Amino acid sequence: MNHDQPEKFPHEQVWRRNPAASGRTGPQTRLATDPQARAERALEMALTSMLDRLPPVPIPSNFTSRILQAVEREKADQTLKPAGLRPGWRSWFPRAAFAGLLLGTGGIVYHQIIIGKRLALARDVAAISQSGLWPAPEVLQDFDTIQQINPTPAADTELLALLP
Amino acid sequence: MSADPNSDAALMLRVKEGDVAAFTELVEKYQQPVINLAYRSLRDLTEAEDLAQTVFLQVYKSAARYQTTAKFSTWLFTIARNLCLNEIRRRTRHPAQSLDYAHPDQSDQPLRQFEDIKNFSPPDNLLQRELEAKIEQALADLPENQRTAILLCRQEELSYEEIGFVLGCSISATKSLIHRGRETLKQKLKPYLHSGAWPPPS
Repeated sequence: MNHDQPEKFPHEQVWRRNPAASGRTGPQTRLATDPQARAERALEMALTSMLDRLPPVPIPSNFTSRILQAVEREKADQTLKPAGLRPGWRSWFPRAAFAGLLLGTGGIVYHQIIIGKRLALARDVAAISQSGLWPAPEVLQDFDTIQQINPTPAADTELLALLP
Repeated sequence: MSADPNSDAALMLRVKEGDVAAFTELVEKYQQPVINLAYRSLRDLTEAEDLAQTVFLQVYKSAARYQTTAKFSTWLFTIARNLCLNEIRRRTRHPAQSLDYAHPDQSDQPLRQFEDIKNFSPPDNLLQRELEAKIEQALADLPENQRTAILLCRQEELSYEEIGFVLGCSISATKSLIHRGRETLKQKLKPYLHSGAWPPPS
């Protein structure tokens, strides 16, 4: 049964019901030579036998009819329910409503946070523009052109090195 | 699989078409193993019966979704095990106090008093019942997955692969669960196993 791992569960052949009857008695060579393996096997077989002899749980004589009655009730319920709400809407509707509420609340909170950040940014920009630190727009009109014509000269490293 | 008109798959195909006789046949075939599993998982006969009833009702309701590629018994025991797990989880969340629980004010009183019948030679079946109770208790004390693996292992028609499918684990993990469960049982039941009260089959 388990040729790949013969030693991992050496007694697995006797785990199932009626191992002796089905001829699943395992590695006979080891059992014949190893008395400890024989004792373990006997214990395993006794446990299997013990489990096999557990009596079945008593079943009431009307068990099948109770199930059939439950099926009939189920069928009757199905015919009474409106078609659109049939498959267990009572179970999913509250969950869906709760999930919707959570999503909606989350969306509103997120929106409020974004609006708050934008308002703070707008207030900062307004404060800076009113402080008069910015030069007039006319001064900056030709800024790009002047920057291209008169690039900043590179630092004279030799002169800097001579400085005390 | 469906060549035999009385095979489980063929019966389920008939159940799909609303055949109550086929459903009755399946119920009668599997009610014993399902109730056994439910009882040994829940240790309450009434709850086990109710759960088994729910299992079969679920089978009937889900018949339309049944695929003949899946073995019926594997599918059935998967439903049974899931419902058992739900019930065990529900009990953990809402533990019920047993009526046998001793009241703190009367802790020195015995829970029940029985008539002292002067019978010093108990019949053999009393010993047998005591042994059965020990095994049931040892099984009940096992972790759920080990107990279910051992109980399903007693179902001849289920292979290790199918037991693994029910338990949601691989074949080697299934064998490992059975092995560990049996080791625990052997430790607990060693005196009875050695006593010869339950001799191995000849």
